[in-house]
Amino acid sequence: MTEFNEKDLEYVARRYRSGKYDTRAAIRRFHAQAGSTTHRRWWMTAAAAAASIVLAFAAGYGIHTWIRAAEEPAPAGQPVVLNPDVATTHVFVYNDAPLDQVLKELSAYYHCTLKAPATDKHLTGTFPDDDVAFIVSLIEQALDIEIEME
Amino acid sequence: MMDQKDIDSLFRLYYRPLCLYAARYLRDADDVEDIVQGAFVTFWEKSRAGQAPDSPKAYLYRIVHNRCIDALRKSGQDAIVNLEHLQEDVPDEEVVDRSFIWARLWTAIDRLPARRREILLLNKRDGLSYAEIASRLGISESTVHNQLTKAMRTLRTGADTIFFKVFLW
Repeated sequence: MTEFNEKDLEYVARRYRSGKYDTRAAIRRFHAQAGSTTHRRWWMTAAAAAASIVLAFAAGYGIHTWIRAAEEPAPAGQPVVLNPDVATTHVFVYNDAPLDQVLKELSAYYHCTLKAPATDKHLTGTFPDDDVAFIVSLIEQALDIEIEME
Repeated sequence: MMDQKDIDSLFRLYYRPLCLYAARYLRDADDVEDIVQGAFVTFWEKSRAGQAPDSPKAYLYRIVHNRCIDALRKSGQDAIVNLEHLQEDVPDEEVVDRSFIWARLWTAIDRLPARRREILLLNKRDGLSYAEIASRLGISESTVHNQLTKAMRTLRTGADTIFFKVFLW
């Protein structure tokens, strides 16, 4: 991703207002406005909540095994899921995860294609899910690589 | 068929960049959000009608672009009028790319500690000198300098905002 310059910073600073252009608030507003067609059924929400509670317990007991298992190279064509409940938690947590798997997961979640040169670098960190460009730029700087986003 | 998860992903990818794009044309942040929100609603309705555009990104930017220009034509002096842009029928690719950088900067500024953000804005938005900021906030010039240096480092690396560790194997 291209580095910002002084003009970019001035542009954003002039327009900045705390709490504006909030993606999560916009999503909520959208679903309220677009009506019931986009709403989850109540039982889907309940099921998601139950699933995340189960996962939280499972993680408490066997987080290491789980991470180890998740780090095994995924068979080609299979989606990579390191954070199965991110839709509920809104946070990606990576613990020493191989970069290619991180990019696969982020690509699937954001419906885009993230590509980086082959590397065996690993990533540890916690990211909120509301801004993919920000996550990508952090990974780029931390691992000193270029990530392509399509 | 597009479902809730897909539209949420599109929001996460494009909402803030689209806002920063529209903010180039419109001064009022509420107008900007209404237009961007409206573009998503139009996109959603079109998709529900089985006419999903091939490129959601191009489609959303185009709608936002056109509606900004409509709004400019209607309101005139309330907005930031730029005749040069008014003549364009399609979004400027370079500005579209730039809007992603602006969105990232916005996010980073948003996550600065409040005091540090205020100092940054006084300097970059209002053009105040270190001395002017120091006297306005009742702090020393060296504090202003330190805070600005830290703020800029955060914007460039994102390091202060999120706990981050990397293993190089």
